[in-house]
Amino acid sequence: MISLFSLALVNFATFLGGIGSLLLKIGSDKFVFDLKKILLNKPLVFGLLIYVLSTFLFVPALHNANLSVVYPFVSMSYFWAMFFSFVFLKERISLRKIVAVLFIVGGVIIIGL
Amino acid sequence: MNKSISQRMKLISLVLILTLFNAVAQIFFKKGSNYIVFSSPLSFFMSVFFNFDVFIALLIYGISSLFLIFSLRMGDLSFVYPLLGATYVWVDLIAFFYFGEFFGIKIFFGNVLIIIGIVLLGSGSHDHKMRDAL
Repeated sequence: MISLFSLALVNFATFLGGIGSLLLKIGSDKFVFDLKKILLNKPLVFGLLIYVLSTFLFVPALHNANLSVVYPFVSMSYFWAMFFSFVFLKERISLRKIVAVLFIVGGVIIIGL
Repeated sequence: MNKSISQRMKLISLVLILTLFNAVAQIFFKKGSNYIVFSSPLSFFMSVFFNFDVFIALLIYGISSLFLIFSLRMGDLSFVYPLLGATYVWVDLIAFFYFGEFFGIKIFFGNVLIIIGIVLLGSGSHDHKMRDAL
């Protein structure tokens, strides 16, 4: 039961992390060294908040969890980042990028096993 | 050097520095996490915010987020985000060289895969947009 809860929480956290990084990317395009403009940069502020929230969700999610079951799902964050950058930012996802990400995801999964 | 190549090297260096920061923050976070209490949401937040190691970790994370914003400004999300996987490699390098922890063959192999992925991504030719940080 705890593992199921952790699993759901980890997946939610990676999804949030993906959304956070998408918003950060959108906000970073408008970044200037001006505190007022930074605070008015909604995607940047919300992106940071969501990113921080997702990081904090990992703490209870990975606590007491069966790590070898839960941890591989952490690499879902790479999937979400690629998915969002393709769908919302129209970035080109080359075969090379996909293969590179599969290597990285494979490495993350193996380290967590 | 070709402008787009030197821009890419700058971006990769920036991401490698910020992932090193993340790794150091993660080690502080781990050190402090022994004192985090999970009995209630209030005690959880109190134990997180009145914890010196966690405070240092959050400070370093703050600096690395600024670097992340610059990195995302310079390059595509689908290029920068996977590079963040370098954090895992840094954590294990620090564990090995600083704490003298020997990682097993499994972690070694995982890190090798991540490094291959980063090199593949970083050496890709013109499949992503680039611009200066500021």
